[in-house]
Amino acid sequence: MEPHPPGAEAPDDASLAPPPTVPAVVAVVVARDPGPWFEEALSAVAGQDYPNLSILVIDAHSAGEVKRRVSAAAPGAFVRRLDEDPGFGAAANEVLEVVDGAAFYLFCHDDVAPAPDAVRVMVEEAYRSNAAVVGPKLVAWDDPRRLLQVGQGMDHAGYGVPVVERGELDQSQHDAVRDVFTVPGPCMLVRTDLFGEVGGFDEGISDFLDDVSLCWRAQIAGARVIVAPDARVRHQDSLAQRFGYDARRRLQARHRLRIVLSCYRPIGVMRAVVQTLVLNVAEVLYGLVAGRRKRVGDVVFAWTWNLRRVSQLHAARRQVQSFRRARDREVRSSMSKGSARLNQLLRGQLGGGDDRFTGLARSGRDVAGVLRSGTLRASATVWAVVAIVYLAGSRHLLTRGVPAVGEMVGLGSSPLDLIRSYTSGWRTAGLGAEAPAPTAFGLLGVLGVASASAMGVLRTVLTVGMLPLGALFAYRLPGPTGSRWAQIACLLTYISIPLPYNALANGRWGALVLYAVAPLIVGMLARASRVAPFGSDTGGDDEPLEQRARRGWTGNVLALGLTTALVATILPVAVPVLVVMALGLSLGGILALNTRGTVRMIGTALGAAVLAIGLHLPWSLDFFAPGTTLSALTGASRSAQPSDLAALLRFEVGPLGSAPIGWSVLVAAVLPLLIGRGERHTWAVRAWALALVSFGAAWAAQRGTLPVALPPVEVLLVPAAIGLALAAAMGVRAFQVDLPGYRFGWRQIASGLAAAAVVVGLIPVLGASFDGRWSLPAGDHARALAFIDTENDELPFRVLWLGDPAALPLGGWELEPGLAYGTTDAGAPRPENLWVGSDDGPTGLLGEAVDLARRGQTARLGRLLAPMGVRYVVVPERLAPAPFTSAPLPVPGALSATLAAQLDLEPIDAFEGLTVFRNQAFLPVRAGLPASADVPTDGGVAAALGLDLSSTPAVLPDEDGHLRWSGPVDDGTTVLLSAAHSDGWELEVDGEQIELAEPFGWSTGFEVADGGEASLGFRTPSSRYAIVGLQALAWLVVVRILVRRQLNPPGPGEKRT
Amino acid sequence: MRSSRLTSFVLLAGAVTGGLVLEAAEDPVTTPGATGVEAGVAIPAATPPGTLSSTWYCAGGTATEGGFADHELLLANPTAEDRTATVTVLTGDIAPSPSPPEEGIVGETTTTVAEPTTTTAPVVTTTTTIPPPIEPLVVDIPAHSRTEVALREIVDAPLAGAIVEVDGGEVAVEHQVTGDGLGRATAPCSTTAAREWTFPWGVTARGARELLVFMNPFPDDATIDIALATDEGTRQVLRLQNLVVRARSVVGINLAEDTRRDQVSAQILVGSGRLVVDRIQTFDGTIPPYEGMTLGLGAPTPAETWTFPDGQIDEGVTEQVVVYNPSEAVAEVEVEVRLDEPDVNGVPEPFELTIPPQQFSLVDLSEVDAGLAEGEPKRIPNGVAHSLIVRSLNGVPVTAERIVTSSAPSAELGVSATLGSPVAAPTWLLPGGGVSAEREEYLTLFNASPDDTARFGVSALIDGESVALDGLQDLEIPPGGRRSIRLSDHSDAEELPLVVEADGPVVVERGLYRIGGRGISQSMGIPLAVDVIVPEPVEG
Repeated sequence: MEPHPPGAEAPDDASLAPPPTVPAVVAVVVARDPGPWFEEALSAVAGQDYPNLSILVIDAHSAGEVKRRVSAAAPGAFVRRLDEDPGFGAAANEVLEVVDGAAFYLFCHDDVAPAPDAVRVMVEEAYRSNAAVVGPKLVAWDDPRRLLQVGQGMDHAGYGVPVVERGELDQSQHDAVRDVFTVPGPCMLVRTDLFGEVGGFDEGISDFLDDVSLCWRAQIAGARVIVAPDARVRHQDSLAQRFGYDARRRLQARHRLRIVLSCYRPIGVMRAVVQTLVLNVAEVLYGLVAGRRKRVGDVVFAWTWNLRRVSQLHAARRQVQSFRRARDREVRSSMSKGSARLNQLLRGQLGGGDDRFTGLARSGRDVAGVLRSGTLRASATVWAVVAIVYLAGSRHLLTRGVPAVGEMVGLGSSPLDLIRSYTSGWRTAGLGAEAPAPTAFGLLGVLGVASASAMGVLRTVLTVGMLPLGALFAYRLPGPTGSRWAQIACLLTYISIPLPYNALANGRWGALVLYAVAPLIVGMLARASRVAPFGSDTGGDDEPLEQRARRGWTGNVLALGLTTALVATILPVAVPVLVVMALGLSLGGILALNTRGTVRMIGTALGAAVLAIGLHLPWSLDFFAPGTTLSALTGASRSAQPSDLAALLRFEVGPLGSAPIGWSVLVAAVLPLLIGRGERHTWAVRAWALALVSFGAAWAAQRGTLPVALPPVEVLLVPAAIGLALAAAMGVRAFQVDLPGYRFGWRQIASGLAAAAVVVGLIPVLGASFDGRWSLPAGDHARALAFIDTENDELPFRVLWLGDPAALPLGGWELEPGLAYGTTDAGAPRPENLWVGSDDGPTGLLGEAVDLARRGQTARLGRLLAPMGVRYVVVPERLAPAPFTSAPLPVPGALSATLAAQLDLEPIDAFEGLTVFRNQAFLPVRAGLPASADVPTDGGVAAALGLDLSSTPAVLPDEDGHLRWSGPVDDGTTVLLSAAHSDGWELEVDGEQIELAEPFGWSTGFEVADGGEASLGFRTPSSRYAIVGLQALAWLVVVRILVRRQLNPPGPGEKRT
Repeated sequence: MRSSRLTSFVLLAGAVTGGLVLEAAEDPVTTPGATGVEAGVAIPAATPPGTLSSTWYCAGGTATEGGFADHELLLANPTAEDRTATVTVLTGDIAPSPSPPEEGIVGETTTTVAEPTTTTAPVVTTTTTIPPPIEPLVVDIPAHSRTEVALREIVDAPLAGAIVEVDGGEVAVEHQVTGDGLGRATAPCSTTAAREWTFPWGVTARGARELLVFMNPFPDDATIDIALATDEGTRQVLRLQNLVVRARSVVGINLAEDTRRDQVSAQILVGSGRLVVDRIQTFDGTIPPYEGMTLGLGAPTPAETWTFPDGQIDEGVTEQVVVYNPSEAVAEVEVEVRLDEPDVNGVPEPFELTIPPQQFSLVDLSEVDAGLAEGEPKRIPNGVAHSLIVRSLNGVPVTAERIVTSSAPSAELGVSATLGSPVAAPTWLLPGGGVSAEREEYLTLFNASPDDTARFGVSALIDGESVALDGLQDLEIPPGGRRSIRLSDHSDAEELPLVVEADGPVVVERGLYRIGGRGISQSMGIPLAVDVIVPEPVEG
């Protein structure tokens, strides 16, 4: 029976034909404003020698007259016009509504012309091979000798692996019938029962990769997908031309991600997400290196587009599960090994190719061609060397992990813990406080989830990865000069500065992050100034100047504010540092007698700072709360070992930077001051002024001459690093532009010296890379203190850390310059112990207790610390204990003597460089005091001096979740929680809520008269969740605006709304 | 453009150069003083008003019937507020004697003159088990009063020390030991536990017992090495190396069982932990002129200046100064004898000493004029009171101890050994003491200021009140001078805790003399840790 499309208009000459003896095939041609080739294509379909072929043309709301053209070219075809263009897949799915009784559908674009025997060959092969989807050999429209596609493979992340090189000469070399993962989408034969079972094309995919989706789902349904190369189909490939190259790439990216997210089973999708994320990160980095922002935008767009359609994805996944017969493992077995995209990236990075159809041969040709270009060859060589040095220098950190020293605390094992800490209204640092959590908890938690809980890998990326990221942004910074040599100089100078390696060796995570992003920030400030070459007379490397200018103040503020906010997540003081950087650059403008752009730059910085503060609300309010010291923002940072100015000028704040090579960076950066003219000179002076402001701040911090707490010296020196690198870049540009205007003389010699200085400056970095860990200790205090957790088993306790801020593996509060204290719950520090906020409130009692002992007011420090749950006092006097490092970071001698003279602190044998005391008066964090215990309700820290509570047992041993414990409590027990008093704590005994008390005048307690099964927990106020939601929304809005601006720049004269 | 380039270059370069020049022009960082003398550490000191608590360590003494050094605590509260003290008694024993001596020398393994030989010694545990903890005793110290605690009434132990924790400041604690037929010795308890102690003087000859009492008040064991300096060099006795003092215990080491010498300086180095060390030196009278007993802390910190306010030689009264150099450098030391009424008695030439590392030097003031012909003026005339000042001339800190013996024909009998004071302060507390028909008490003050006259007054804590003693108010001491007071001229109280308040830095020493029997006890007072100064080693 011939299928009859009931909803379609019948052809004029429809006639009763004799019943065919072959399966019915309906050719479904989706026409969308077809070009002049349409008639030829339709004729080819109509001219098939297959005896039982009907043609249904779906007119997807074409503007032009389609029906008439169909009638002329294929008089027997049915035409169905749609009211809108839903995309190819959805349009083709109309066949399910209007056709009944067919055995196969032949889906065709409106620009394919099958050879006369093509349908017959495919149908025959479908039966012969028992295949449900059969594809033809796709050849070029105008030159059928050239192959376009003969099916393709697929990697696990959804990237195609072409069987043939596009444009390859057809010499019958691919004419064997074979299984493929996908057949050519422009023309494919699909068995109707399968098509119906899988629900047709995925209507969430409007165009591009709908064929991939269909083939993938067909295989999930257990069907076979083959290509029959004897069936030849010419293809015009008009779809890509109609959409444009950028749109095609973007649509492919988003549809590829949708396919991956919808086709795998849950475990498979997690694995695929990780792989895709890794690839996407690489792709983003590549895009940034290559200056292809649109590619970066594609990646971002793909994720945002899909994440906005989570419910659709769920529906699609449910549908796939409904017909699944093949497991993921079986489907994956038919996929290609490795990563097709990575191969393309590697080729495309050098070859400039950006097309997934680019073949290896062409890539090779491109590479050769590109490398014949001198500057690109130099860039490629430099980057290759930089990559090798970074990989070699970081090899042990990459393979063995980053030790938890300094600020580089471990991220824990579960990202959900971080997210819970973020959403909770309770901060656990110190004695706890009801205060907003740092944004970092949430961000790191989300990143942890995105990395499939690979927290170690995430931590490595976020620490060691800052080195190449900084190099990358440094390379990009002088891009607007139009000189790749300037970019190379900036890169080499920036990476030759010892600062990041010293920061890494000193465990300064915040400084590393700032180092990575500082070039980006300086670039944004420079663009905000609109001073040439960043604004007026030359475009950037990939973004037209006019476009950037149109971005305007708002765009700059948003971009800079978001960037600063991201840095401030790790390093809160980044916000004022941003303003200082703007002021430094502006000061340079004044010195250079060129103040153009100063107001814009400072205004942008201030706006960005306000935005960054806003994005961190309500956490940022913590820094402005009454009683908050400045060190809460900057960190208790001043080390006991100051550097002199000369050492600071060489960035010698760690193992690297010693004279005389350490001076080379300064030598290299001097050149533009000597020979530069015009904008080169102006920006060189700006860069130098930035550097000097930075050096000055670091010097003041080291000398303690300023009455305010300043950040770690490594942080303060970051602007100097990027300032000198920018100056060096301007030196190269001046060498190229200005030097030819001078007669031969000292300037040429100075140029040579500067160049030599850049090269010489790299030598220490090369040397530092030999140890494979950039002088970072191989172990950490947490490893040495592992016995603490073992010793205590389930006993809840705190550890009080005392030492030089540079030696503490956590954030601390300053007792005096060079001495700080901090706490951890149990042994190893966690992120919650890094951003600790203010110690105003009960937490400050810890410092008070230590101060009392230091002033000789007590020899019972243990008793003072007992109500605070402190069981151990740990004094690190190195970044890591022996044998991992030997560099001393001593505490004041009086502190050691004080602790040793306490009658209730028992020294424990520990590694050299680490002194540990066990508090013999210890009281568990959750203790059950007998009702007879006379616990004072006021008196501050001294109230505990006369109490010996050392035999008090722990209670509520079972952890039921974040900040929630349970267990039996006896009659007449006072449950004492060593945490700051808060109404948020609730204790229920056998379902009855117990009244809250305030032991010691600061702690949390509950007097339980009748014992029973008790549950203690912190009740997070609902307003906290609302605030968290608002904060997340604010970030998303800013990101969305920036992405939209990036992806959809306004046209000339168009005004943003 | 050219001018702007030059201007900016000069400004930028000037900023860098200016910074470098500024830094280079600054004075080099001065290194802190070598000694770090601090009240409360270098010398026991009462904590200032407002202090949350104060802790005292009283190491030495026996607490058993018939003990040779019956241990008693003296707690004085000069404030107007009642105080409470928690007394935790730690017990222990005297370490057992070593193997019988060979060739007259007991247990010595090495003998060196200049460089001590390092030997790998086995760990010696002085007690096999940690003594069981004793419930702390809470005692009241009413305002303006003294409280006495006899340890024998709390425990029965061969040795007993005590930790006294007071719930406030300004309280001073002394302890005294009483031996049958040996007299009584009184000295301040310690306010610090240290890692190093030195005892410049000591006698281990026959008839003498030099008992070092080590108290470890902390929850971890301590290990010690004891080096002995004799006139033949430094001796390291195997028994006294790697000695373990168990947590919260006391242990006594009788050095006389290891070596027999007329003069032994002991240096105790604590390998791990911290200790308090007292010395109880007894003489049975077989080696004249020594008879009686002494009690005193070692010196936890060497200093460049030591002041002894009181001194006098006479018929039957000898006076020696032993200076010990615990450092690794040679010390050049001067011992100045500052006679009363210098216009009349003259100004004797100082004694100059060169002391090798870990060695001592002894100045016997009684013997310096031994070779003079009759009628020649003596450098240190008999019967002229004086003060002593020991000062290091080359910055190498030392420890200095003064030994006074008194025997017939003198009326007083006994021996005293006193470390000098490395500090001076306006206020001094003296918990012990008292006058009676059997005991005389002297108070001697030294004005540490070379320029200003010091005015002072003395009050006593009697019957819960602070009583200004008649005739002892608003008295003056000339710059660098001294003043001695016989307290029986002003009070007849048998319990006479004193408070001396001056308007400038002074050093106060107390002498207790038994009438008609053995018993001389001289010791420094206890300064209140307010406005304490460390005298300059060289007079300005």
